[in-house]
Amino acid sequence: MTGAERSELRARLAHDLKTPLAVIIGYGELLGTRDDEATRVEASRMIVQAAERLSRDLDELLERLLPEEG
Amino acid sequence: MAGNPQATVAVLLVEDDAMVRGWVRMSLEGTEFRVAGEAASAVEALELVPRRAPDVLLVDYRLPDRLGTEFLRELRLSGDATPTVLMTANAEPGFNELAREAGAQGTSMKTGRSEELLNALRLAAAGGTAFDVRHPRRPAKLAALSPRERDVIRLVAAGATNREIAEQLEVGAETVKTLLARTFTKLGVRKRAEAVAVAHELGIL
Repeated sequence: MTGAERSELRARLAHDLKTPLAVIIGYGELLGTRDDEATRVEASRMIVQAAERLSRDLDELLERLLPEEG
Repeated sequence: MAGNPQATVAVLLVEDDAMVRGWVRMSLEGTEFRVAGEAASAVEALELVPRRAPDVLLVDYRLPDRLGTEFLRELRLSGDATPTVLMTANAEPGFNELAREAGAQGTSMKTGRSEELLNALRLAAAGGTAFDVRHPRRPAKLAALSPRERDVIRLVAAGATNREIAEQLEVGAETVKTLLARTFTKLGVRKRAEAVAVAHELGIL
């Protein structure tokens, strides 16, 4: 892998992993500052969805980097 | 649903990730901003911007069909000068310089902090600039390249021949050779492929 390919892969991985994290932080912050029920319900739902996506992405990354034997 | 009468500043959001779009929408609620439109790709945005005529654009850097900087260059070439903030998920060396050269007024990192996003949008919409200082400065080697030399390296990366570069930049063949030679010297490379690789590493592309 060339330096450029490595840089690009690093940036893509950071993007894929950090985006759902930012979503979790963002909606978490809104949960703490907003009073209306509809916003709070939506924020809770999005936090769960983003966490599930992050979990899937991490599983895929682990499988790619360190595949299970057998 | 009745809108917020204080929301007078129209934002057009260009972001392919529905979760991020939802968070931005919610973060803007109750502020002076209203979402005037959403696009999930550069192609959609190029069609939507002239129709919606927003006051400010919020654009993701990694769009599915091209980079946010490429989208912005295309928009500027079409004559559109809407203040624009480019978003990235992580700190990228030279990103502020790259965004500025593409015609952006600001950069914002997707940290999930509403105030950071709002501050960048406010500054850009008010005619100022808001470049996130967490992006490391461009390495000195690349800073030495002139805007024209950066144009050349971008065209080389796009696979353009010398003749095509000359046509694009509206210069003669000899000028292209000179520009290429100077660019290669500054980047410390001898071949086109090496130049493109180094330019990628330095964050110019």
